[in-house]
Amino acid sequence: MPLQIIYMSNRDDEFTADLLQGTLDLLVLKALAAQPLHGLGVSSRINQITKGTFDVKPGSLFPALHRMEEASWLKAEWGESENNRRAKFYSLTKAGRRQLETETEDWQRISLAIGSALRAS
Amino acid sequence: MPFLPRIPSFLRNLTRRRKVEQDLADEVSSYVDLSTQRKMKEGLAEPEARRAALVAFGGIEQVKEQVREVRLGRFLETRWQDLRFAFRTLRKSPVFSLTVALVLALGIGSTALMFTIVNSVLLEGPPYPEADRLFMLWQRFPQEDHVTFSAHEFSAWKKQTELFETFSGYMGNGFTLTGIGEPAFCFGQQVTPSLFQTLGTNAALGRVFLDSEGEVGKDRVVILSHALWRDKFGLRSDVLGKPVVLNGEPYIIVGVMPETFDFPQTDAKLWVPAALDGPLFQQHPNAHFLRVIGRLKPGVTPQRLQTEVDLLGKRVDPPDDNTIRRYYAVSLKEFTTGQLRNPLLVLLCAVAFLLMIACANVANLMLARANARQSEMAIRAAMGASRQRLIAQLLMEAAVLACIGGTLGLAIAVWGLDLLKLFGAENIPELAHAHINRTALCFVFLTSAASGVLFGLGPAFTASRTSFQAALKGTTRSTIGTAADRTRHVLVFAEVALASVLLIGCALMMRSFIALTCVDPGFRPENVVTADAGLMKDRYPDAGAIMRFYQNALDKIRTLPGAQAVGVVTHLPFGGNNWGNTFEIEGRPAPTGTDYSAQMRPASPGYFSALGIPLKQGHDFSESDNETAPGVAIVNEALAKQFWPNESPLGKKIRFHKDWLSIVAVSGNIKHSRLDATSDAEIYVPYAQLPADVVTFLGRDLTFVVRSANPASTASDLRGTIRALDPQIVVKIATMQSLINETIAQPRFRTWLIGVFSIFALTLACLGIYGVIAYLVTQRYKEIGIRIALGATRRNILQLILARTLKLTAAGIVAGLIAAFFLSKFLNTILFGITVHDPITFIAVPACLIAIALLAGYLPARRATRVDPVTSLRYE
Repeated sequence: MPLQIIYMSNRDDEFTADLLQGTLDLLVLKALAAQPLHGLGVSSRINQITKGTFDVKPGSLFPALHRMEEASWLKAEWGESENNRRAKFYSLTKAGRRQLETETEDWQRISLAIGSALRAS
Repeated sequence: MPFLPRIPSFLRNLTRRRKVEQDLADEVSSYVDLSTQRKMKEGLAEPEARRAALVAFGGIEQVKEQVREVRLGRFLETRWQDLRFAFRTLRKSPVFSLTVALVLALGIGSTALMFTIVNSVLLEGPPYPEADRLFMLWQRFPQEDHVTFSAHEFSAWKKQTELFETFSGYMGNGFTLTGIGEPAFCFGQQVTPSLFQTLGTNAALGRVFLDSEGEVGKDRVVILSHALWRDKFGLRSDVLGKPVVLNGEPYIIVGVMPETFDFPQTDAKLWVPAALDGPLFQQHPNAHFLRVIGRLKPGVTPQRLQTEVDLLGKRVDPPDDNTIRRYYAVSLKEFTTGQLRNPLLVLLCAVAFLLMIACANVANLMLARANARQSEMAIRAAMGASRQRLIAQLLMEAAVLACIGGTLGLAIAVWGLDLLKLFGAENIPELAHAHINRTALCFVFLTSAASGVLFGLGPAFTASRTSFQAALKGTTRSTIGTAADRTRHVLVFAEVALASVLLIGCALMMRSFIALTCVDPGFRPENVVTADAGLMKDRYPDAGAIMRFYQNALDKIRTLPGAQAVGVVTHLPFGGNNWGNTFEIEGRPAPTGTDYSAQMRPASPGYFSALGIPLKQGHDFSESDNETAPGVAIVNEALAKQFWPNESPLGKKIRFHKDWLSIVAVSGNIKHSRLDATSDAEIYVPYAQLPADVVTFLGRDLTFVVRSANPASTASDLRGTIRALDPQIVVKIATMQSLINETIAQPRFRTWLIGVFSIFALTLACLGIYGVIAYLVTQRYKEIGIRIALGATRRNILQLILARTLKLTAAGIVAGLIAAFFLSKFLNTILFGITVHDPITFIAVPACLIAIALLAGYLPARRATRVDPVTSLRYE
């Protein structure tokens, strides 16, 4: 059963929201690192690169994409999809690449730290 | 996260909403399409594929809403939504919105109005640069306060003072302006040339006086007020250097003052130099003519000023002068507004109470409305609105109402100020400077905002706390009923208490005003017409000419149809003039260092009967009391009692000039300038016996007093008769009653104001009581139905509801009375003739309030008696 990432809009639960939001942001940035993708593409790519662990639903994906676009990490353009459908393609901006780098570093540091914490007896 | 790159998105979201929305819709549908295609590739037929795609998508509108939720500018957009929604809701219930807006406007408007006046009169002070450095000097004698300076004293002080940067004197004088159209009477000032430097004001046109113009020979120059320039010279700029004739002497116009300049008061129309070396001052070196005003050197504190004034006072007086007196300084601000401070502060408190009552009232209305909207709120909450969102929404409604109320309030203040100026400016000159400025606008904004939050917050929280299930089931009474009921009762309690305090204050001021109007002036002002005539130097150069005019005019006026009694006086009661003088009593020298002093009243035979002043002993002057006959005088009871408490003063001898006068009568006391003052000691002397130098000096202003059977026709006859004798004389006609009324204009004005505020307050309190009782009746509809079904009569129900009303208001009234009992001591200085705990007021006002409260409760109570038990049981 894949994990569902649900972007929490409920501000009462800010800590969880931040954590999940950070994870989702990192995944979206990573998914777009290789090539521009449309929304469904991003979702499938995340599913693919996390080996099916994460299934990002539109309800989380769309707000995340729009938020990141407004933050100028992503750039959106309408284009043709693989079967000649019109679709909105997202790509990383320079700021987005920088963000990916910092978030990757952060994540690695956190996961190392948590990993060592869990190994400690 | 950086802020700058977000600006384009932010602007786009706010300004191109439709495009942004379209884009989102396109993106969503493209996602669904692509998803459908994928499902079809997996082998599903198109309809199923689409259905599966949609299910996986999970609610298009929700996703869109989630996107909107994170958009930049979402906060503003939500507030904008709230705002539009608030307007829509308020428009849907116009009666409610209008009531709230009007109640608020009344509160805010009255407060803004009073604040504007207080701000410009008390806070800003006199309209001169660095006005806090302007101080006046006065002298206090054992028998008299507020004594002005003689030319001699003025010069001595001016020479010796080290505290004042500039030091000036001024005295009021009447001027007859001739040569330009009709002769006109203007009140003007004789001023030492430095006055304008002292005040720090320059001429708008031309110049102010030069120092040299304070000398005889160079002093024939005049500065016009803006009003005189407008009325007499049509605002022409070529008036400078033009000659005018004042009191028969030629003057050259050298300047025109700005429109706002009206020192020392609004009726000042022109200023001429006071030549201290001139005949007037030289011949009367010890006459206290001059009011003294000076500008302190920077940094001199009022305390230091008084210390040095005390010290200097001893040094200034010549060694042979052993008069007992003390010099003292008063700031110009204190002098001009000191007596207005207490009444204004009382009025400001009154409007503050009114504002609080208005707020309580609005809060009550909002609460009732919130109650009525519980189902609406419940539905909103059920649809996903958070508590914050509901509160924000209700606060926005309150803010909109406060804005409308504030705007209307500002309009009321502007309009009210104009109205007050229209009715009050003549008698309360300080009003002329009142204007709505930035401070006042800030004040309106802050009060509106504060009252908006005050009345909006409570109801918003109460309403948003509603249990939604209960609300939807329609059983809300049990849920918010008690808390909200308590709030409403506290609000009505506060309203009634505040209104009681205000009404007590109002009643006290009214009683005091009535007491003032009931004061016996000591004479009978009814049917008395007065005509004031000033005799100019050019046409009446000496005492002989003046005396001839006096006799001719008196003879002519005695023959007027309807004239029952005719007299002349130089200093008419309530005419604005006074002449205090020292006098001697034969064989009774005054104690060392003091003088006997009294008010002098040169009058003609017949004056006492014309004005209706009773003669207690002796007889009136007669025509034979002329310059050749032995001198006589009439003293009033106050003087008689002061000097001859146990014997008759008749036949005693007094003098104020060279000759001894024997007292031939004792007159009753009269009020001379104020109804609320005690009567001064007075000496009447026959006008015909005045020494020549006194006639030319103080006897030029004659007031004819006529008791008439037909005052209206006498008024015009009087003017005609005097003008027939000399067309150049300016005649001012007034009835005695109107002259008295002018002196109580200020108390009348403030009594009116507090009366109006109290009526507002009473109305609002009634509205509050009515609202709560009406609500109570609806709430207890079922109970009343059951009571009626069980056999309660209409009378029982009426009693039940009225008892409830009484209980609700009685507490408020009692609290109000207790507060008023302690607060009324602040009225002490402005009340006259009654005590601050006037028993009639403290009994009548609560009785009145209870009656009005019962009336307010009666309407809903009557409705309660008409409850149909059958319908009522089905109610809710």
